[in-house]
Amino acid sequence: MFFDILRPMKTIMTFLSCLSFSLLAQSEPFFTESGEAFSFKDQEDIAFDPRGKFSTNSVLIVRDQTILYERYANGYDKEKPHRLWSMTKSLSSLLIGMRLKDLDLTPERPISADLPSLSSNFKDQITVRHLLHMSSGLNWNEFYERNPFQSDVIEMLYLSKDMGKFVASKESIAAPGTRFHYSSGETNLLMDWFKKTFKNDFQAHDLYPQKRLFDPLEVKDATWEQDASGTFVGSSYAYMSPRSLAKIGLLVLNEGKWPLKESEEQSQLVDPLYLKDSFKLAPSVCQTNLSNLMKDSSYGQHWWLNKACPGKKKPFDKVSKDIILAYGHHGQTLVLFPKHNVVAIRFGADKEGTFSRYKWITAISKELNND
Amino acid sequence: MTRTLLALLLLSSCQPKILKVVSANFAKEYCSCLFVEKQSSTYCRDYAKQFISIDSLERTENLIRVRAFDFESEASFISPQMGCKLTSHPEG
Repeated sequence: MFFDILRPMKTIMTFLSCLSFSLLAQSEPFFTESGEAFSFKDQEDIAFDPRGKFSTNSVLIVRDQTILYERYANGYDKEKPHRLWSMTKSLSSLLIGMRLKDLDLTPERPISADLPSLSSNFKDQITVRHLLHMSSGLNWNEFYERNPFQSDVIEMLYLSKDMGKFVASKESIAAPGTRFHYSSGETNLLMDWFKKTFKNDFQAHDLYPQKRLFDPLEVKDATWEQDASGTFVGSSYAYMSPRSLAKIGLLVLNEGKWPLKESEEQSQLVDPLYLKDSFKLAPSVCQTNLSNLMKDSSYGQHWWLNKACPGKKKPFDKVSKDIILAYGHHGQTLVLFPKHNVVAIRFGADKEGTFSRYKWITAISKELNND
Repeated sequence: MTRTLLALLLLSSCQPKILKVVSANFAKEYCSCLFVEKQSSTYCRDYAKQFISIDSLERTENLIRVRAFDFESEASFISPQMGCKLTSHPEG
């Protein structure tokens, strides 16, 4: 009888303890403020220079789960998602790596096995790896506002209902793997390949980024837009807050394992071997006679790098060759400093394109090395 | 003024394809700026504008309709996860 009276009380107590635990769990932020003596003043003077013709919307620098520097402008704040533009390509790379692992495939998979509608003469030789390396050999003009009249990327993004099909109609102008040519088309062809691997399970395809990448990281503000045919626009159209993007950066620095703390039960979200391959210089980069603007380009599997081809300079000559980068239109920048476990993010809207990534990244590196 | 004259000169010699882009570009980027990035309409109008101006902009609850050079485009906000999509636009 006595225990019968206690039973409802026990239920209430259990409910209250669960409630307080969940409230505690919800209120505990992932990032904490730093008590460290970093000023990052030099990078701040560069990013928020009032004389600059560019517009920095936010800068976030974190080490592990500690915020070292954070500043917002122009109506943005820590809650608001920002467009990643071409930094989306690096998220696409993570997704492709995860999908290859699911299907027990290697990046040497010919895309024609799943995408039979390619026009290229080399269609049976183009692999997932070639697309990741931007070296399919498909003809492409990657111009934006500066030359919209001959731009394939503008036609793909704004006039094409099926972006993968648009890219698949392009002819080859080089054999696969022999020529590096930065192309948003290659990413969206990859994303079409990604979609085709789900056969007709559109729901599984549509939920994949959320379930497999954003939910485990508790990224709640991510958006990834699709074209009219339901293909994720992997070249350009993901959005998230700087803090969420910093979590993606930390996942990469942690070799694909999440959560970061080894004391907690970790899941291997991205294959570490795939990530290691992602940060190797694509052979086609060094084989290609690049134009002035791109002459010191350093590119892996949809990530920019700081590794030099033989006889050439590193893009950031005063910064470690180990840094990993993602760039987007209008000055979007993500930098991973593996030796320091630091992620730096700069969002902007530089229609004039005068923000100097070189100066900004060099200033951050200098301060980290003085630590 | 010089930029406008240059733009008109270029437009007169180019294919109509570029004219079709104007409304589609504005509709898509304005929609994402407003509904995904949650910025103000003033900021988004300024962000989405190009060197050629549009003729009209209509906004209903989840839809942006833009007209420029006799071409019309619509972008719709689908969901917080899927963002905006061009739901009607001239094809290339």
